[in-house]
Amino acid sequence: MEETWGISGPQFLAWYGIALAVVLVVQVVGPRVARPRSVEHTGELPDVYHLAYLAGGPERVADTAIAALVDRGLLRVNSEGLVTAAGKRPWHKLERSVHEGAKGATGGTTRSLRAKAARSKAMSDLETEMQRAGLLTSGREARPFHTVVLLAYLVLLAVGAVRFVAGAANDRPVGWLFLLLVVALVLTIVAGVVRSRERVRVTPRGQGALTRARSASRARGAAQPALLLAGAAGAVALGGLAMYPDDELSAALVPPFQPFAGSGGGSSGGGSSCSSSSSCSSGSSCSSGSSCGSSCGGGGGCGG
Amino acid sequence: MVDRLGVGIGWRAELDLSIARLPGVDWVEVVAENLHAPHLPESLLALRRRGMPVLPHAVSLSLGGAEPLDTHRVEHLAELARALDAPLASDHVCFVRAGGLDSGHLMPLPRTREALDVLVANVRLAQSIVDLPLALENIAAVLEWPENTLSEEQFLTELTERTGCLLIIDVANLYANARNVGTDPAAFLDGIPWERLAYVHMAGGIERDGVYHDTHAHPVPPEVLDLLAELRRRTDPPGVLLERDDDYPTDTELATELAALRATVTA
Repeated sequence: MEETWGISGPQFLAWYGIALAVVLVVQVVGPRVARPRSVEHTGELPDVYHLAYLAGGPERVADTAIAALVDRGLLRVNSEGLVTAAGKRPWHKLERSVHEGAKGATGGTTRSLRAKAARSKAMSDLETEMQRAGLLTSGREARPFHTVVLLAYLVLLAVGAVRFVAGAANDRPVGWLFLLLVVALVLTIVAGVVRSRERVRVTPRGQGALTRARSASRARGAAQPALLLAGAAGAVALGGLAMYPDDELSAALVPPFQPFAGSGGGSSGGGSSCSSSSSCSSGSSCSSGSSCGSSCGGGGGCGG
Repeated sequence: MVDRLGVGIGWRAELDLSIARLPGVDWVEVVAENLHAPHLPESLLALRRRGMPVLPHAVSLSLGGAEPLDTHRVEHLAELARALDAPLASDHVCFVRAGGLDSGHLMPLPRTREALDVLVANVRLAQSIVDLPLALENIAAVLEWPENTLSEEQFLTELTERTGCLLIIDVANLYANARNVGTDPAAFLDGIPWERLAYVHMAGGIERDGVYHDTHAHPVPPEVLDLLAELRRRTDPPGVLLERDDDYPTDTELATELAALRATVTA
């Protein structure tokens, strides 16, 4: 009886298994070992929003902007977590987008402001900026690697399939090969999904910057990072809203736990008070929505 | 005489943590229709525990309305005033309902004997339910009724004489009326029975197309502060309240406005 392709079944199975394992190892270890090609360190320290991104992604960036604005009085949070804009709009792009999200009678919540900030141009600009500085990988950088991995799996899958057909035609046992083929198919599908989902990741340099910032903030030395991370924004950038240095405001800002959290919006801070217009249907002297709270005397205007 | 209150601010849910921290807040006023005695916001109760007076101010009693008084609304105000342990309760000299319709706005009364009779009867009924001093506020008029026979100060004076009620004088409304319907502010201030004054309301607004809008969403303009100074020459108001209902400024700006009010009445 002739061996298919002149290779014995067990030999083929061994080589095939080894090949699959090698691709798998490369797939898993590769991204960790490969240093992203990036511009040389410019010597500039990352700003507080860069560190926030490194520490907790876009959500932490939004939280840091909220903290910075609350600290400067440009955002106000009430006891029910309703966040409203106050005063003039800030200059910083990210802060401006958060401030705008809290404008108007309905304001926003930490959740709704996070959702809005994540979709903002300011956030994608920040990501681009950090990719240029070598702090983040872009999905694009990692894509060729994952394409190669996917192709390797596809080749193995094809070779295995042909051997399976040839072996079966040759009346050889193909049960074990069939099992390996199933494994190869699963790995191929996983590689495809990983390739399509590949997104922004922190680079080793980004990780290093974050570690330095954390130790600097712990050391509270005279070094610049400590200065950079001074204040509410710095505390929240590294530790989240729970670290906002005012307990009452921190408690109001941390969104309530929602096991089935929907997207933004959340519970409007209204509660028993004004924003639910039902309680002030009549006689509210004002025409403008939430300010049914108005007690003013009508008048040549809102009165409200 | 009325208890001295000092400088206060209109309590709004959006501002609750700010108000609790603002310097120069001696008391707050709440809109009665927005609150329910059994479910008062924790942040408001915290102010009460600090000993800060909290005064309910209604907008929906329609005391000048020709229809029978809706006593449920008066009872709501009374219940709230009791829950807050308030020294007095208040609403406006106006009507908000007629023919089953809600104007959504405080409408001025025709200043005639007939309208005054209706108002006096409603105020007396409300007083019997509230069982606390009741104060009534002058509104900013969107229009003047052609049949007016009394000046606004005469109308308010007779109202206090016949019912024993107190007055809240809204200086911004007085300014708006002076600008928009030709009220003489000096004559108004000269004619008010100041011994009946509960406190003063102050608010910001803006002029658009020659009409002054009492928006409660802008800073108090210097002209309205000047009018408060004019009032201060005639009486030492027991309280001054800043109303801000929309487009809130920063805490710092609110504190500055409160300080300006205090400076004007203590000058």
